[in-house]
Amino acid sequence: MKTFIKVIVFSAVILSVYTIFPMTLPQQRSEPPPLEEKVGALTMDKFIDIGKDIFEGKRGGFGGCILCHDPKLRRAPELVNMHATSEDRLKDPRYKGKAKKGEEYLRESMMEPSAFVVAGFGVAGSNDTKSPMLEIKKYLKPWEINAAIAFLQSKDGGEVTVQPPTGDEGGGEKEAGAGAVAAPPAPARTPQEFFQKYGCGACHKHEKGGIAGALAPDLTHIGSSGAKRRPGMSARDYIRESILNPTAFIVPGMPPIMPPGFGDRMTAGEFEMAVAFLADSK
Amino acid sequence: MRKKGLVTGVLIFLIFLLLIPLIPLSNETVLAQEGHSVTSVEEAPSKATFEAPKLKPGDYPQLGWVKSREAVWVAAQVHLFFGAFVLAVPIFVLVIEGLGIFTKDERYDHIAHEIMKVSMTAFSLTALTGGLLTFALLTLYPDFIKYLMRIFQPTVIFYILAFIGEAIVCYTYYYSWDALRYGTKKWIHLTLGLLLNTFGMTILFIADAWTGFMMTPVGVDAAGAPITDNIWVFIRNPFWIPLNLHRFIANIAFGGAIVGAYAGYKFLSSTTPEEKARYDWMGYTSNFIAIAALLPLPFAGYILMAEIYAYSQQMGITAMGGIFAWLFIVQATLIGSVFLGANYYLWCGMGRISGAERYTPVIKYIAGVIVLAFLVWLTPHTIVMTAIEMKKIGGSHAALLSPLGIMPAKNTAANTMILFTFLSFFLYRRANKMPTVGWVGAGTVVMKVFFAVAWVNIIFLGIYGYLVPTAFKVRASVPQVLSTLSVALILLILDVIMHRKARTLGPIQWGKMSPRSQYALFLLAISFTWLMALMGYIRSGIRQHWHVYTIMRDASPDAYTPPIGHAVLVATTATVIFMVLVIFCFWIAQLSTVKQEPLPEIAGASGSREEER
Repeated sequence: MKTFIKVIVFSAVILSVYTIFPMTLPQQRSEPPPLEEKVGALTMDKFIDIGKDIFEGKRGGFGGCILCHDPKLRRAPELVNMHATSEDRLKDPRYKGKAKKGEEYLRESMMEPSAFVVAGFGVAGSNDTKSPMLEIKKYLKPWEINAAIAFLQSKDGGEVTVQPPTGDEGGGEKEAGAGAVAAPPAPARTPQEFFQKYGCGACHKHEKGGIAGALAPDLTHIGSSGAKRRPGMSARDYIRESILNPTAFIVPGMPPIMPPGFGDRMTAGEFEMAVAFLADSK
Repeated sequence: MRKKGLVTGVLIFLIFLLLIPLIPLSNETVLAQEGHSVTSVEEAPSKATFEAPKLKPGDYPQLGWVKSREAVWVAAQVHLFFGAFVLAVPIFVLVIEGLGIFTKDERYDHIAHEIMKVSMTAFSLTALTGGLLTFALLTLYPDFIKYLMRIFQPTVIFYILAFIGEAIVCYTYYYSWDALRYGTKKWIHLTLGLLLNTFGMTILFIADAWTGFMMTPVGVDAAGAPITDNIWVFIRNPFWIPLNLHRFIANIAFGGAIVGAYAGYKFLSSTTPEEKARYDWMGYTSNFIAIAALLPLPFAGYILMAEIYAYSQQMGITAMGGIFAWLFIVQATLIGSVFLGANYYLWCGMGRISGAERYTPVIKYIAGVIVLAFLVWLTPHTIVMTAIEMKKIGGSHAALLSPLGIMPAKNTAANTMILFTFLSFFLYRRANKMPTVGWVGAGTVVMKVFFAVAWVNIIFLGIYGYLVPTAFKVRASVPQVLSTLSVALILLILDVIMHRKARTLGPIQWGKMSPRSQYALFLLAISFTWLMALMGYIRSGIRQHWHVYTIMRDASPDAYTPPIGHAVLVATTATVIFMVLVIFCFWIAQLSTVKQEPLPEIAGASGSREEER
């Protein structure tokens, strides 16, 4: 019995170490993309922004084009000057696809990646006739593919030839013309919902807000500490500026990691609610 | 004699059948990449008219307070543990029994019989947990399981038949052990063992086809509708063969580790020198099986990951570069523990061998190299830091250590650990022998040079990996692996030839092992079990929010990918349940050997009847 107890205790200690060690690592829950995303009318700038998010893997369920089309990794061709490169590819003697214009080429590259494989980037042994690229249409909706095309065309100064959703095509998930249309995502109703929706907890901490990030300044008392950050600027104005233009002032000792453009994503109501809540956090 | 020939022929045929699903078919890989799989299958159009259902959260039944995903997760994991164990045991029992025939050493036969005895209850528990898993899937994920079974309908009947066959042959194999013990009858018994393995492997291969289809579906269109009626297309999905290979090897390592723990416990609780010697030998043999299977396991893992990348870079990157990347650091910690534990056991074992003291000074260097390689293996590339930490090291990457976090360093560390574990084993097996051939000096130099060159080559290729693009980096791992394997092969062959007619420096004193050494066996068993649960989660988790990757979406409230802490708690829960049930299996096997002393009145009555006669 003594041996049995010794063995059990030893096993329990080993198992505890194995269990506790991973708990000390960063804990991240990855949410699936929404089942039915509803998109309303979009401006061209917003449309291109969504394309950029897709490219950089900031939309749920898809890792982003940059995972492979990274010039450092060279898993896939680098995507530079695509507004011009797409036209050049059509003139390549090896091109046997159906596209007639650059925009069509970009769409075909995503829908049917093997229609044309850039030399040296095919599946090993396929003599550049098969592309290793994943079937993008399984991850992105037609309007999202258009957004990615818009981003690729615009990022190096080219003309965007695809049109953003106008909101006139119908509701829900209907894929009419350039995109699906309907109401925008429901706005956050409480500061806590706001923090969750915009992922503030990944970096910031706010005790009442229910977030506990450790990479960026603690916002628990930002209502009082914010008033001292910039001479002549109230806490409310400072918070407002920090959301809209995060690089305007970096708290000493903190890394400049806050992404720009948060202000563009939120509704005016959400923005004002967050500013008021934070300014009252004293 | 003809009878023996016939039995041998059947044995060879069965072995051939077993090997087919383990042979990688590279040309299949190209066909089956994501995005091409559907259109590349040149088959007659399917008559089937169903698609993968598009589910909503309300389509998943809820059972009160039961958490659906956790229930299925634990049931599947415990079933897999038992499945792996009962598939592995007949494999190495057969090998041990065969060794008994060829070496004419009765100990092999006894140990094989004992391992089968302690595993018999595990067969019943495998069926029981399998039933629980089926019930959980049918109750909690009915639409998904219905779709999967419609795709694989013809295989289900084979699965059931193989299961019935396994049960019949398993009991026949065990209960006929003494009746078919010697001569030609022993060969019939061996054939029964092989038949048992054939049924077991059939079950594994069919279940792997289902799992593989969930990971890398082929033969269906984007909506999940079959485009062919040829069931073989679904079975031979890209994941199938790598998964068969990986599970086949891992099961053996796992089974060896569990039996090793049993032997360790029996050793510690033995009271006589004979018993101690017996269980010491059993522990050594089981550990040897576990480690022999562990050494090629990382290579099987490479093939598996390469197949994942070939099918879907997205899935590969999710596994190795996304939120699962941290779990590979945890994996490295466990594998490091396993390697250190296994080496420690071997080094302790050298204490019972006369002549092994010659190698004692080398051990500290081997330990040092393994620890160093272990540290490299578990060094992460990027870690989440506080702003102050980031400021201190000047960025999100540690300038000095982060280069050790990428694949060339990991491959070098893994190969080094395997190479030096092999060296421990190599020294162990030659410890009590002194070669008498004339070319000992030259042969030893050749072996040392070969080992050194191979290790230098592994390190050189690791450094080379930093200087070239990713594609070459991955390719550099192949010659690294070949270096390791060639060292193992060539050194063993040379050593066997060199030690023909070798002088023995003394017997191996079985039973003369420190009690502490036995805890290495428990460490191995726990680490293997927990590691299986963790890696099983990674394998399944990289599908993310898909029941069938990119074909059938998981719309349940549990479709999110849980944080690491959540996942390891489930893994620990499954491990504890399995351990408790395994202890029950061993206890019940032990109980069958206990005989109650007759009560006085029965003993008296029996005695008086004897007198009357």
